[in-house]
Order: sequence, then structure tokens, then C-alpha cells
Amino acid sequence: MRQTTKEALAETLEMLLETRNIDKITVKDIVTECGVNRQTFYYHFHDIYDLMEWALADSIEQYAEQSLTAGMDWMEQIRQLFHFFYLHRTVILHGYDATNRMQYERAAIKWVSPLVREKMESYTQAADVDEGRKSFICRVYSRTIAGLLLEWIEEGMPDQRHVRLDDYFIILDGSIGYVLDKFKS
Amino acid sequence: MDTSNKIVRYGLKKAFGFIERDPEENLPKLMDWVDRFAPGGERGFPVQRAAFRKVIEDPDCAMHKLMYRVFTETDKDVLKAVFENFIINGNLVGWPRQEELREEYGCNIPWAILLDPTSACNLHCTGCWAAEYGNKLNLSFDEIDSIITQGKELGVYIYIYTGGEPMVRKSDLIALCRKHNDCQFLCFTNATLIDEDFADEMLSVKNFIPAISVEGFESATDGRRGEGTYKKVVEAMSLLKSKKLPFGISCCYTSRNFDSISSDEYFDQMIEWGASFVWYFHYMPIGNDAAPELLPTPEQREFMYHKIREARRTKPIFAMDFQNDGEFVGGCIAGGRRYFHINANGDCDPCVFIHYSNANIRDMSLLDVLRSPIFMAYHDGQPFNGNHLRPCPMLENPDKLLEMVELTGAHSTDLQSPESAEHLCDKCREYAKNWTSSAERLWQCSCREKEAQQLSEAEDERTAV
Repeated sequence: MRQTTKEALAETLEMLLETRNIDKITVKDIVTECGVNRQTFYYHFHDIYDLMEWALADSIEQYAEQSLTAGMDWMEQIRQLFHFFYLHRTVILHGYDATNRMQYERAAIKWVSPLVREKMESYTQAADVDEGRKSFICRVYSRTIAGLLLEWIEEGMPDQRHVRLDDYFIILDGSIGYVLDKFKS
Repeated sequence: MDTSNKIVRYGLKKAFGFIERDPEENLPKLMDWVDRFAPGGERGFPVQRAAFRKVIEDPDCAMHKLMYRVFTETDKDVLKAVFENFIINGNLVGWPRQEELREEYGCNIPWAILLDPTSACNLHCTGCWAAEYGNKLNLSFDEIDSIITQGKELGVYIYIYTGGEPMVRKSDLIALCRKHNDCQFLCFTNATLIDEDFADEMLSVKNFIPAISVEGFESATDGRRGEGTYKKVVEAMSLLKSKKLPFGISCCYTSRNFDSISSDEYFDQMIEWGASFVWYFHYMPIGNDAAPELLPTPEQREFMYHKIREARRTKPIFAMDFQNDGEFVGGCIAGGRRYFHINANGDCDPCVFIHYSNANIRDMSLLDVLRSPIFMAYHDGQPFNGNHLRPCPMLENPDKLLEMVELTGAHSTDLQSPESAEHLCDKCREYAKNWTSSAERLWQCSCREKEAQQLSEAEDERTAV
């Protein structure tokens, strides 16, 4: 398979993150390891965080292609997101800092919000609630997941079962109809 | 940056978002807000505010048309990047830093740096001064990166590529734009290397604006630059316009082409091509092979003086002539006062046209360059003439340059054919002498006009009160 320069740089970063923290990695380390020039790095990325963002998005996308199947339960899909982070936990933990914290958060929200949206739209009441409020509901529930994810990362990512996803599902499933009723215009 | 600066920056970004949604509706509203909060007296820039309000509120004013043209014809993200890098970083953040350092080090600190990434060019135009360098010299990616990194420490956020044809190094230029995404990059270019891929890269980095050299219409351009060049340049401009990328045009006026490249027809053509600004350059007789007969006569230069001022009032394109607009910038801006030039060999010239130096960026820091002998001679000598229509230490005041070069022992940085300062200055003496009386007359007129304007404004204010 032909590998693009961007992918090669992303793989190199992930490889370096297996061994040390992001604050100990320089652009020079990455290009030396990858066998390209510094200018090649900057042709594609503004800085290491820009590369990190791209690498994370790219690998989540690949993972989604492989692990998500048609008709998969929404709860299972959310579990898969946590499983992705668990599989990459060394890289995720070594990459964790103030900037990447926001990137992890964004990645989680991007994954979860369409699922929440779909779940919400399956309720008949959804038709009577205006769009602004529906996207607010989506945001609240997706942010909760992002919060649980970040909390778990801060604790050093012990076993996934540590995250109380089943309890979250009970809350979401049980309250979404109630909220929609209350928000009916 | 301190906290108050951050708040100002945040406020400006918000204001920009507000304008962008509906410029025609929201600009006057924002201006009301600015007027309400501006401090009284001189500190509140009353003259500038009044001028700006006039532009905003008068739909027939050329600058009004230009502003709305730029707002509607430019990619929103690119416009936002230009606003942040050029207006906020380049001026509001950069300027106080530059002032502070000017004070601290007692030398010039520039507002922009011009640099040649390469001396190579894909065209071979008759009489091009860049061609004098031959085509084997390059500033490496790391050298340019270091210049910009050091520049930002000094508060410089505006970098202008010249050459050679900078676009010969296009992938490095994109890499530098991406790395320094808080800076604004401009680039003098013949435009023949701008293709769709490059335009897409420009859209992705957002902080790169070409200033395309055009000699006038087809026959003039092809005559000097080679058959088919004009067509390629026009194609490049139409590509940029279709991608909503901003660009400008640069023209060199000589005794031969001054009337055609300042004609109404040509202005309208540039506007139609989509250019938002045009920089006019007075021909400079530099280099051993220069053609002094191309120097405009006093009548021709005076014609340009009036023509460009008229265009600023009547044409929706921002026109500037560095030789005749000295009054707006206090005369000569070279020697690091507002800008200086680094050639593809690393030599630091006080000006793109003045190739004498004692400093090379490969041997010393940017700050040391600015404190090197010829740069200090510029610093101490500026302005070179109280009449800003005679700003240049070479063209209008040739003895000044000769004296500075002798005093500082600066050497010619022209690697192809070093020219002595005597030889260069001799070519300007007659021109300088001939121009003096016109310059004095024009200068006095413009001073009187300004006085009259101030009087009438003061009168208006009194009536208003």
C-alpha cells in the first residue's frame, strides 16, 4: 500500500509517543526518525499538535471503518470509542496535556453526537421540538461522555469497565423522552 | 502579550466576526461604537476616525467600493487570517514591541522584512535587476525559518519575498507559511508558477498574498518577459480570483511605459482582473548594466504623482507609489526603519535597491544586522530630506548614499557585477538636480493643502460645537 507523507509522519509520532511524553518530542526527532526534511514536516503541519490532531482523526477513522458494522447498537458504538482509546492508551497518556486534552474531547464529541442525535430522533416527540433545543440536548449528552473519557484518562486509563458506561446508558435512555416532552414547543 | 492586550485582541476578533456577517449593515454600527468609546482630543485619533467614517458611509467613495469588494470577493477564512496576522499581529501587537526595542537599542527596528529565497528565476527578462545575481544562490529553509523566528522576537510579523522568482521554492514557502501561521507573507512574483495545486495550498495556509508583476498590456509584457508570458499571468490571476484569493499587482514605471500603466483603461483592467492593490515602483538605475534613459523625466514623475493620487480617489483599488508617497511614511523607509532586504546570499541590504552592506545574516543575528554600520548610518541620517518627495539617499540625494557607503566601508553585495557607489550615484545626479524644482513646488502645494484642510476641519468642529 502506498503510504502518504502525512501518514508516515503520523505513524512516526505514534511510535515516539510509545516511549516518551509529548513534551519530550521535537519536530527534529520526528523528521529524523521518519527520514524526511524539516521543511517537509512544515509543508504538511503547523506544529506537533497539528500533526497529533490529524493522526488522531486519521486513526479513529480507520478504526471506525474496521470496527463499526451496519446496524450496530448505539451503546456498543460508544463502547467501541472507549475501546479505541484503551487500545492506544500508551500513546494517549504520553500525549496528554492541556492542548491534547481538548483534542481528545473534540474527538469524543465528534464520535458520540451523531449517535445521541440518532437515538433522540427515534422518539416520536422529537418532531415537535425545535432544532436549537435538540442540538442543545445533543451537546449536553455528548459532553457528558467526553467528561467521563477525560476523567478516565486522568486516572491513568485503568480497565475500561472502570467507566460506568452502563449507568450512563440508563440515564440517557431513561431521560431523553422526558426532556423532549418538557421541550415540546 | 499582557492581559489587556489579549482582551483587545479578543474584542477585535469578535468585532471582525460581526462585520464579516454583513459589512454593509454592521460597519457603520461598529463605527458608532468606536466613536462612543474613543477618548477625547488627539489621543482618540479624531481625524482618522472621521476619514474612516467617510469611507464607510459614502457608497460612491472609491475606498468604500474597494472595502466592500474585498469583503465580498475574498475567502472568509483567508480574510480572517489577513486581519489577524496583518492588522492585529503586524500592527497592533508588533508596533508597540518595535517601538519599545527602538528605544532600548537605539537602532531601527523594521515593520517588514523583504527576503530573496532564491536568485533563480524561470524567466529571463530584459534588464531585470534580480537577474544580476545569477541563479545559484538560495537561503535554506532553516535560514529563512531562523530569520522569521528572530523577526517575531522583534515584533516583525510581515515578510515579503522577492528575488529571483520566489515561487521556484514554492513548497518551502508553503511550509514557512504553515509553520509561522501568525505572520503575513507577501510575495513578488511573475505568477507563471501559480497553478491550481498552489492556489489550493494558499487556501489551506491562508496567509500568503502574491503581488504579481505586470508590465502593462500584452505587447509590453511579452516584449520584456518573453512570448506567452502575459497569457500565463492573466490565467494565474483569473485562477486566484475564482478561488477568492486576494492578490495585488506590482508595476515598474519608466520613461517609456509610464502613461500606459497609469491609464484609466489599465486601472480598470487591474480591477477587473481582481487585484485589490497595486504598487508602483519608480525605475531605479542600479547595476552596471542599468539604462538611465529609462528614468522618468520630472514631468513624467509629476504626472504619476497626480495620477496615482487621482486613482486613490476614483478607482476601487489601493494604489501606492513608494517614491511619491513618502509624505505618508516620513520619507525613506529603508535601512530597517520600516523594512530592509536580505538577498539570496544572506547579505543584508538597507533597501531592495541599495546593494551595499557590512552584514550577512549567516554571520550575525538580526538585531546585530540592524546595528551594523550602514544600518546605523541610515538610522542617523533619516529622513534624508525634509521634502518627502525627495526621500531616497540615492535617487534624489545621491551624495548622501555616497557618503554613507564611504563612511561605513560597506561593500557591494551584487555578486554578479559589483558596482561602485560613485558609479551608481553619478547616474542619479542629473535626475536629482532636474527633479528638485518640481519636488519643491509640489511639496509646498501639498503642505498648503494640508494646512487649509486642517483649518477647515477646525472650523467644522467649532460650528459643530
